[in-house]
Amino acid sequence: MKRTDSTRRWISFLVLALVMLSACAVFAQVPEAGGEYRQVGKFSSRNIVWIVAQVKLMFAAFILGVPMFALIIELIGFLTKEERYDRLAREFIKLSLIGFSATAALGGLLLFLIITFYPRFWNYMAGVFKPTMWIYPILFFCESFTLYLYWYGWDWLKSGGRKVVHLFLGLLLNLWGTALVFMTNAWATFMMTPNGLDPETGVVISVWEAINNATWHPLNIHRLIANAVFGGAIAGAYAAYKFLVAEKDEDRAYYDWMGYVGNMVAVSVFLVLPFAGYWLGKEIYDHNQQMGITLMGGFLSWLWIIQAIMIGILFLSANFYLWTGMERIDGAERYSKYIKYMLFVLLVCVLVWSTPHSLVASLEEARRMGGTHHPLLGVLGVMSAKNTAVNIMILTTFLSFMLYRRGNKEATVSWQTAGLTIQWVILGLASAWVIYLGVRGYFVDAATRIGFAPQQVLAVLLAIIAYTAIDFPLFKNAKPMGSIHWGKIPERSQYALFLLALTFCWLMGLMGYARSALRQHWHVYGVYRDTSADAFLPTLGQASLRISLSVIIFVVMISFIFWLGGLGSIKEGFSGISRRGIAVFAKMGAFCMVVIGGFVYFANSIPQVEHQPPVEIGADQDVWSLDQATVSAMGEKLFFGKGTCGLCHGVGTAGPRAPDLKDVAKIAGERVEGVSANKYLVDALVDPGVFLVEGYGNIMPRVDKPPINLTPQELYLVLGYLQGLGGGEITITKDDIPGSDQAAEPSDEAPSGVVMLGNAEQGRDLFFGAGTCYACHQVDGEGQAVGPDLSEIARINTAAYIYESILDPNKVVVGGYPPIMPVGFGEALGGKDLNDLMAYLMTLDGSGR
Amino acid sequence: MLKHPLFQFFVLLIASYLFYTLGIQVLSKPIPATLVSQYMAITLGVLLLYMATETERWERFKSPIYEALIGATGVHRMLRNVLFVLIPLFAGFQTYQAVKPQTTPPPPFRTVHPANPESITFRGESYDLTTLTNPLRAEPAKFDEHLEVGKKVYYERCFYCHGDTWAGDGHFAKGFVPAPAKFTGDATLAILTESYVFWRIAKGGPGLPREATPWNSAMPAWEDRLTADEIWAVTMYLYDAVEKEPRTVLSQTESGGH
Repeated sequence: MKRTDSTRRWISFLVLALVMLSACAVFAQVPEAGGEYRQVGKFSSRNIVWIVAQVKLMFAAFILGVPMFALIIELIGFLTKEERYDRLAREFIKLSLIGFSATAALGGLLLFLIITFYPRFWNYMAGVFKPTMWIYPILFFCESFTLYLYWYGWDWLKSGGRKVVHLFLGLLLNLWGTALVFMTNAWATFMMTPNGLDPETGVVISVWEAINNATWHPLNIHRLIANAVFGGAIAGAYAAYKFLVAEKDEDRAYYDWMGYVGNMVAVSVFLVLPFAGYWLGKEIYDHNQQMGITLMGGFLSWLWIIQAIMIGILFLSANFYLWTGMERIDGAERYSKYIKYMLFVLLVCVLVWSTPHSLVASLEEARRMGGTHHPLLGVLGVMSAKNTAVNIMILTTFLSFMLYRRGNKEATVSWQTAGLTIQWVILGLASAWVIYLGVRGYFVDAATRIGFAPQQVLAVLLAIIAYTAIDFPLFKNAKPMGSIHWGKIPERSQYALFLLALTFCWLMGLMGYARSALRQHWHVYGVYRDTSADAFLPTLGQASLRISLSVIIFVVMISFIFWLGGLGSIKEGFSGISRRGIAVFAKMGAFCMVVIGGFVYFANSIPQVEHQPPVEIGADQDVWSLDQATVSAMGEKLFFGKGTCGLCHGVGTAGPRAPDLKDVAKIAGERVEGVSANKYLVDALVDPGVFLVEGYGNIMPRVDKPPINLTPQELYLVLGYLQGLGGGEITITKDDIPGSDQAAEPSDEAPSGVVMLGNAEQGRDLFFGAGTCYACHQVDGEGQAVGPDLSEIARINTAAYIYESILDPNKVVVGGYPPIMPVGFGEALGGKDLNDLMAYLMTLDGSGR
Repeated sequence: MLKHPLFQFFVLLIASYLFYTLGIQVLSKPIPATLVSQYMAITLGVLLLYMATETERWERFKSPIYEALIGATGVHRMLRNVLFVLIPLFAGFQTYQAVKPQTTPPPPFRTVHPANPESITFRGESYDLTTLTNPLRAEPAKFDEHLEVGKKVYYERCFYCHGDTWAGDGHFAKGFVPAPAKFTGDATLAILTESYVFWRIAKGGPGLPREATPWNSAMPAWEDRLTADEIWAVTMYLYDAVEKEPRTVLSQTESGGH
C-alpha cells in the first residue's frame, strides 16, 4: 500500500514539473512581457533563487550520490557474499526514493522562480539551449523508471545470475544520473565560459559548442566526484543518528558499521577531489586570466581561507573517526602512540593551508612586519605551500587508514620486516619528494611551478598504490589478534561523522558561491550583463548567512526524510517518536547550530568587501536614481573629460574663455527673470547662446551634439555635479533633461569625424607658413598667444563654427581677446587652401599635448 | 599532575601561544593579532581532538572540569564562586576592549591584489592586459640601455616612497597608509606579470577597481607624466634590481572548446 502511495505522490510531482516546463515554453513566446526583472515585495530575487537553487543542488547531489554509494556497496556485497552490504544498499535506495520527489519539486520551484524573476534571461537561455530543454525531462523519466525497477525489482532479481542484471540496473541508474548532471552543468558552465556564439552578434552558432565549453568537463568531473563523496558523507551522518538512537546492541553494531562504510567511501573518494578542483581552476585561468585573478587573488581570495579551514576540519574529523574507531578493534592500541605525531603533522598542514597571503594587520603591526606580507609566513600564502600541505594531509590520512586496517592483524609472512620497512620507505620518499617540489617551486617561474602540482599528486597516488600492493599480500594470511567489536565505538566519534557531513554541505554552498560569483556582474560572462539591482556580489559574511540558511533548510528536510524512512519499518521495532530520538535530535541540532555559527563567525571576521559592477554611463542606464555622491563623482569626470567643459570653464577660478562655474547653481535661479534654475542650467547646455554672460563671446557649442555629444544621462550627471558644487542639493530630474524620455538609440549624426576634403599636412604648412595664422594662434605651444590657443579646437567646437570664424572673424570674438583678426581670409585663401586648413584644424583634438 | 591530560592541554595551549607570538618574532618579524587568533583557534580544536581520541584520556581530561562544576566539597564551591565572578568579568573586559575608543586605525580589511581590468586606455590607446607583454624585452641588444632609462625614472619618481632598497621604505614611506609597495621578497613582483605592474604604475591609486576599497593608496597615476616606454623601462629595472623574473602569462588556449 505504502509503495503505491509514494509512487502516486512522486508522479504528481513530475507532472507538476512538466506543467512548469510547458509553462516556460509559453513564456518564451512573449519575451517582453513584464520586462527584464521582477521581484516579490522587497525580497531580493537573487537571494531567493540563490537559496532555492542551493537546496535543490544539495538534494540533487543526494539523489545522485546515494545511487553511486549504493551501487558500490551492492557490488561489494555481491563479491564478498555478505548479506549486510545488500541490506545497506537497499536502505539507502529507499531514502533516495523519498528524496527524489523533493528534488523534483524543488527543481520545479527553481524553474518557476527563474521564469518569474528573470524572464528575459530565461528566454535567452532557453533560446541558446533549445534542444537540450527537451532532452532533460526525457532523461529524468528514464532515470526515475530505472530507479523504480532497481528498487521494486530488488527481491525479484536477487538470486544467482539475476543479481548481475540488478547490478546492471544500478549502473544504468547512475548513467542516467550522470547524463542529467552533465546536461545541467552545460547550462551552468555556459554562463561562466560561454562558447559557440558569434563574437560580433552574440547569436548562437553551435549548440554543441555552447555545451562543450571550456569548463564543462572540469565541472562534470568535479561534481561527479563530489556527489559520490556527498553520498558517503550523508550515509555516515544517517548512520550516526541511527547509532545514537539505537537501543539494541545489534542495531548499534549495524549502524556503527554503516557509519564506517559511509565514512570510508566519502574519505577515499574525497582524496582525489582537490585535483579535480585544480583542473577546474586551471581551465578558468586559461579561459580568462582576469576571471582567474578574481577567483584566486582578487575579490574571492579570502573565500579560499574559509575553504582551507573547512577542508582542515574534514581531514581532522575523518582521521579522528578512524582513531576513535581503533577502540573497537582488539590489538589496535599498539598504534595509538602514532596518533599524536600524525595529528601534529595535520596541525602543521592545516596552519599552512589556512595562512592568508596578505594578512589583516593594523598599521602598527604592518610596520613591524615590514608590509602587508610577513617575511616568513608570507611564503606560506602561495600555491606551492598549499599544494604541499594538502598532499601531506592526504598521505597522513592514508596512513591512518592503513594502521586502522591492520589493527587486529599480525603479519605472518616470512618477509614481513622487509615489507613493513619498504612501506615506510615509500611513504617517506613520497613525502620528501612532495616537500622538495614544494620548496623548489619558489625558485622557478610560474609556468614550471604549475607543472609541479601534478607531479606531487602523481607521487602521492603512486605511493598509495605501491603501499597497498604490498599491504595485501603482507596481511593475506595474517594472524588475527582479536576481532572488531562493532558498536563499541564511543559516542563522540559519531559527532565526527556528523561534522563531516555538515561541513561537506556548507563547503558545497561555499564553492557554489565561488563558481557563481566568478561571473561577477554578468548573467553570461562577457555576453549578457546583469543589470538588475542584485548585480553586485555580497561580502563573504553576507554570503555565509545565505549558505547557512540553505544548509539548515536542507538538514531539516533531509532529517524529515530519514525519519519517514524509519516509519516504513515501524513493525521492525522503530518507535516513531521516542524520547531518546528527540533527545539525540536536539543534541545534534544544537551541535549543528554551533558548527554553522562558527563558520558564519569566521566568515564575518575576515575582510568584508562587496563587489560592485563597474560604473559606465550607457545610453540605457538609469542614472536618475543614483545617490548624490555618485552623481557628483561621475559628473566631475564628465566635466573634465568627455564633456570638455573644463577646457574653457574654471571651477573656483575664472576659466580662459568662459565664466567660473563654482556658484552657478546659486546664480542660475536669479539671473534671468522668470526662468527657473533648472531650466536655466539645462538651456545653457543645449542652447548655449541664450543666456550669454556679459563680456564673453557666444562661442560655446551645444554639448548634446557632436563632437561632444553628451547623452541625456551624461547631461544629467554634469548638471548634478554643478548643482552639488556649493554643497547644494540636486534638484534636476529626468523630466528636465530633453530627450531622456525617448528610447535610447544611437544618434544618426556622425559622432565626431566630420569628413574633410582637404589635406591636413598641407593645411599645417599653411598654418605655420603662408597663412601666418601662427603669428597670433598657438598650437601645442608653437606660435604666439595673441588670439585663442587652438590646440584642442576640434574637441571644443564644430567645423561650422571654425569655418565661420575664419571667414567672418568678428562675428564671434572669444572673451578676453581683442577683435583684431583680419577680415578677408575668405578672399585671400583659395578654395583648396581653405579646405586644407580646415582639415588641419579639425585634427587638433588635444592629443598632441 | 604533570601527566594529567588537562594540565598537558593547558601547557600545550600556552606553549603554542608563545610560539606564535614570541617564537616567530625571534625567528623573523611578529605576526598580526588576527593571524594569531586564527592559529590559536585551530590549535585549540586540534588539542581537544587529541584529548578525545582515547576514551581513557578523554575521561581524565573531563573529570576535573566536571568535578569543578558539580563537586560538593568546600574547595569546589569556592572554585565555582571564583569562576562565577571571573567569567562575567572576562566577558565584560572583552566587551570593553571591543567598544573602547581607540586612537589607532583598525586593521584595514581589503583586497591587496585586486584583479586587473581586461583592458585599459593608456593615452588614448587601448591595451589588452591579458596579452600585453613588455615590448622592450623584445630588444635584448638594448637591454642595458633600457635599464639605464628605468633606473633614471626610478630615482626621479619612485625612489622617494619605494626607497633605495626597493623595500617600500623610502623617505616618505612613513607618511602613507597603506605603506608603499615593497618590491623585494616573494610576495609582490615575483608573482605578478609585467602587464599587471604596467597597469599599477600607469593608473596608480585612482585606477584601482571598486572592490579594492577601502584603499587610500597615494600612488599617483603616472599615465600623464611617463610615456609607455618609460613605464616599461622602470618595470624592467625593478625586476632586475630585486633579482626576480616576471611571472609569465599562462598558455592562452583559445577561448572555449577543447
